[in-house]
Amino acid sequence: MRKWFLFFVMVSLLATGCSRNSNEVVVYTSVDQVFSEPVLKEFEKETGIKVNAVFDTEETKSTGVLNRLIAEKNHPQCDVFWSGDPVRTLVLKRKGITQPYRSPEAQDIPAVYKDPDGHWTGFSARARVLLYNKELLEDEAVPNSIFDLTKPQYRGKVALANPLFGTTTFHIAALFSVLGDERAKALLDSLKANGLVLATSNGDVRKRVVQGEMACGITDTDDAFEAMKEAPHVGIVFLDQQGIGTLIIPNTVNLIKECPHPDNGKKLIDYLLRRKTEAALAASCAQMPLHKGVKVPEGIPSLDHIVPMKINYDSTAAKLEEIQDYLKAWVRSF
Amino acid sequence: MGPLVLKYPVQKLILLLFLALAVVPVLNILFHIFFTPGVFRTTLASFNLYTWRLLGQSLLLATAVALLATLSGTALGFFLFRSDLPGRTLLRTLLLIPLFLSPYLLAVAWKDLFFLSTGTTAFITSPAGVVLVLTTLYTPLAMLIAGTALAAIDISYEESGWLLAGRRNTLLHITLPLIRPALFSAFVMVFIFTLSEFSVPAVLGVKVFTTEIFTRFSAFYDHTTAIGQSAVLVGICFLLLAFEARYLSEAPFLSLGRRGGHAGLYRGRGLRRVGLFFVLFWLGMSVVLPFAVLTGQAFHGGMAVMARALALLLPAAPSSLLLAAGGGMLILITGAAAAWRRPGTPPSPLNRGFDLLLLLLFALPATVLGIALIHFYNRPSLAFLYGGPAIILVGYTARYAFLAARLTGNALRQLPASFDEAARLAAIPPLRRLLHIHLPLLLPALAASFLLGFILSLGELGTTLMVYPPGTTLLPVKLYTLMANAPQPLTSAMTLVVMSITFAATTLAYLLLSRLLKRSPYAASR
Amino acid sequence: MQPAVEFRHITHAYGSREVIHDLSLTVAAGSITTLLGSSGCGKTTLLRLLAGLETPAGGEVYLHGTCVTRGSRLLVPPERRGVGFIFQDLALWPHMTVLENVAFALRSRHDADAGGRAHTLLDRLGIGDQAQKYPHQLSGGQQQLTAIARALVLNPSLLLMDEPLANLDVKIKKEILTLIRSLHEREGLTILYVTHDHREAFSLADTVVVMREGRIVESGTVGEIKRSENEYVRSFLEY
Repeated sequence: MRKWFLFFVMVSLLATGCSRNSNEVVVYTSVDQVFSEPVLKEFEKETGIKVNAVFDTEETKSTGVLNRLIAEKNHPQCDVFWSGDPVRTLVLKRKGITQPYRSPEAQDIPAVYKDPDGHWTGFSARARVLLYNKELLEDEAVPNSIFDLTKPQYRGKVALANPLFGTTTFHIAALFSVLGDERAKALLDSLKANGLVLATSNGDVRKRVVQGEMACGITDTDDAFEAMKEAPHVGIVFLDQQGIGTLIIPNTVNLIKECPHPDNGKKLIDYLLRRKTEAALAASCAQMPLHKGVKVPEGIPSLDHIVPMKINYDSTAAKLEEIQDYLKAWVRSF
Repeated sequence: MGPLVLKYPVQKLILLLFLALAVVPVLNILFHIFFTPGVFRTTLASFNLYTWRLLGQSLLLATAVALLATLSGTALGFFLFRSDLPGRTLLRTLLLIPLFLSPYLLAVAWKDLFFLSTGTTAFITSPAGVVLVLTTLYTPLAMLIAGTALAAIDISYEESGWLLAGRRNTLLHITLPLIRPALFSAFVMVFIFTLSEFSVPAVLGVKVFTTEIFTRFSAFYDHTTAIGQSAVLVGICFLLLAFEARYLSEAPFLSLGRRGGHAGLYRGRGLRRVGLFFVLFWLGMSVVLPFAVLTGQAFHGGMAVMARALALLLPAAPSSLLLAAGGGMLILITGAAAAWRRPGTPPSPLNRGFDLLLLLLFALPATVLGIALIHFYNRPSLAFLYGGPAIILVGYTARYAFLAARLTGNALRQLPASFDEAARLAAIPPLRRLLHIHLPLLLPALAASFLLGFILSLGELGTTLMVYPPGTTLLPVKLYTLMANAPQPLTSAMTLVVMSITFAATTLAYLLLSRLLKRSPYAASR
Repeated sequence: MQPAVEFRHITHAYGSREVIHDLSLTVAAGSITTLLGSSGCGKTTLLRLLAGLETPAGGEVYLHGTCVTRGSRLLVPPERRGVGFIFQDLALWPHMTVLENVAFALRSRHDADAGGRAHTLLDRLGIGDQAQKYPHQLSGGQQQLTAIARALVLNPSLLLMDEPLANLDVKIKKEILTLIRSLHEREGLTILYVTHDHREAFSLADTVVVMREGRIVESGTVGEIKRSENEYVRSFLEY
């Protein structure tokens, strides 16, 4: 009897302990908590709207928020999805989980970083860069094109994260868009033939290069900058500045369809798209602002000086889907 | 006798509630998936040569880990429970430390260790590396199962053997065969744990069946096939358990008490030497080395890093500990209800049915459980459950009640039926029998169930991440989301902090429970 | 006089193995009857059927003229049969002291003087000074006496004993057998005593029932059994 009573009390306590405050907004984010939490706290302070966040990370591949959003489709709990890359965003749009919202704050963000239908808006961006270990590569030996990495001198020295996940997937899809299928496949094949090493994640690429296990590897700017802070013996290169350009990966934000707090959701989206947020993210994790003329700390690259890869994000996402089976087979062959 | 429902009404109520809260959601999604037209075919179609090979690889790894862990666990159990090794109580406790660590962290520590010491990760990132890491992880479990069985052996069986055939022959031909059920049980538990383990092979870059399921989820967002493939995994666990049930009766299993503490000890200087060498070697490999790597990395950044780790994680500690304690309690209650029957009798059909249901939930990948819970609970009428911490407790209970049921079932089996019969003939009413006779005697097993449930709940990530209410902060979730881009010293420091919190809380709970147990001299005497 | 116990056409099986075959037996009130037979002959099962701990496949059990078990239906539950039972393993609850073991049944009935009455009983059996000890701290004989005290505490009219003396030394065995006899004489208890030791059986019983493989081979007074012509009985008595 006592057991049963205890159980009942516990369940009812827990059930009542969560009565919801109506002036709140629910955000799911795949942006690392260290960087996203301060921004959300600032929003809370400024607006008085309570932010309830579900954090996740692409790094440990915990599959949390996106699968959660998909599973919750019939009765959404989330208002805003803030993603670290456009890939997940596009999956949601395709599955009919997002709704259009054109924020007034996004007017001067270049059209290429916005969904024509208004389902997603990009802001603060990362780029794909080559991180290299200065103790293992002489200055003149540092490659400056992704095609260089197929040369014999880099045999067995290059790391790339598993391209079935995260930004690496998108990078490969972008290469397919820009180069066409034939050339992209040829590139991947010769990379593999040249002893490319598949790491488990971008963080793993960074770790291997910092530790000196690999001479160089392709990763995101935030990882690369973190690595340079941690270890003075690594450097970065923006690849293909004379050729196809460097892939730019914006953060994206969407409003969820039939979300419980649409008005507060829009307020949060507006807040995220403000210059102030971009400046904050530039300072905390080296993200490049997409608004013109946002002040950034010294040493953080600016889109003004980088040749971006010219892609359409929507069609690249479609490309991604198209090449998934090929990619899977390519990964298996390692 | 009366109708079935009138016997043990509380048990029936608890089980009914558990069915409704945890089992129905899972069956719901499985039926939903398998009765959607074409799903069966796509799942089948996803099984090509490559997938079969992965499944084979998974089974091979699980067999290897289960064999090695059972072997070394038995040896450790022998030295630490049945020999006169000095300091064996302390050594026993220290060896349990890997159980407090998340597999993910252990894998990262091993990888670093190999790189720092040999300059290459070639070995550790191979299937052999996965076997190594998982064996060190699960050997303590096997040690507990085998050790408690060894300690529970009636000394007269062995004494008669010693007189006739000497200690060595007795050990091989009497002692080991006597604990065969426990050895099999250890093998099966480790096998299931390994088969469904995802993070270690993922970190070490070894492709297995679980990483394939995971890819389905997180790269392709293909829930249908992922759940279909998970069902295959669960099916294998079922087969194994059916095998276990058929060939062996329920085996002695973990128990916290010192039942049989008077079992004779094997003595001798040579034995002590070998034992000490083996135990210290194992302690060094499974605890000292990974721990040293973590500590070294953490303090490389100085005390400031440690302070930062504390500041980041401590705020999440109270709610996590509270939830884990609630989880431990519910796991204990559900497990006990599922295993409950008249003491000293074999499991009833109800017990066996629940054993299977609990196994289903235990063997199901955590993500699938999370998705099942979302599908079921995420509707306006159930929002009061889904929006609050209750849903996390449902997740904890669903995942781990199996272990508690096993523990309680074994303890029930060890109680002589005559204890209950004597009380019945003395006209003692059922509730009084439960409270004054059975409960005190089951206390060691119940306490062990609670502790195990508490530790596992405190570290649960897979399901929690899918269902935790927005705005809640919990230790494992916070650790994982923070460590993603944190520099190595901070990651290691945070790992140490989480470990210390877990260890401190468990030790505290253990001490409290031991005081409770000491009040009954029975636990100390047997 | 009405018999204390009557078994009518009892059959009993464990799974497909029949262990008692159409057995009928009457036990006179106020007698000491021993069931004698080698292990596995079904004598313990008879006790358990009588106590209501098990039900037979067929047949009826009467207690003081009332039908308490009919086939697999339990008409009177064990706790209302008023029998004391001493188990082969004694089944002393290991987490309770001697006094608690004995007083537990009284306390469950809200007897205000449970402790006092239990103590009186223990004193009578000569183990009053052991009252605060736990079962594992007692000698075999003391454990035995505790079990007897526990079985007697509710003043049963019928005492069932299942090989209770199996592990005791001869001297203690004799003492306890004497004690059982005196209890029987003082309280007019009916005792049904199961054993495989014919010396025990003969020294205690008025009536001896010899069983073999679920059937009664012979029954009678001690003298009658000693003079039996039955081959099985004779061979059994030789040891």
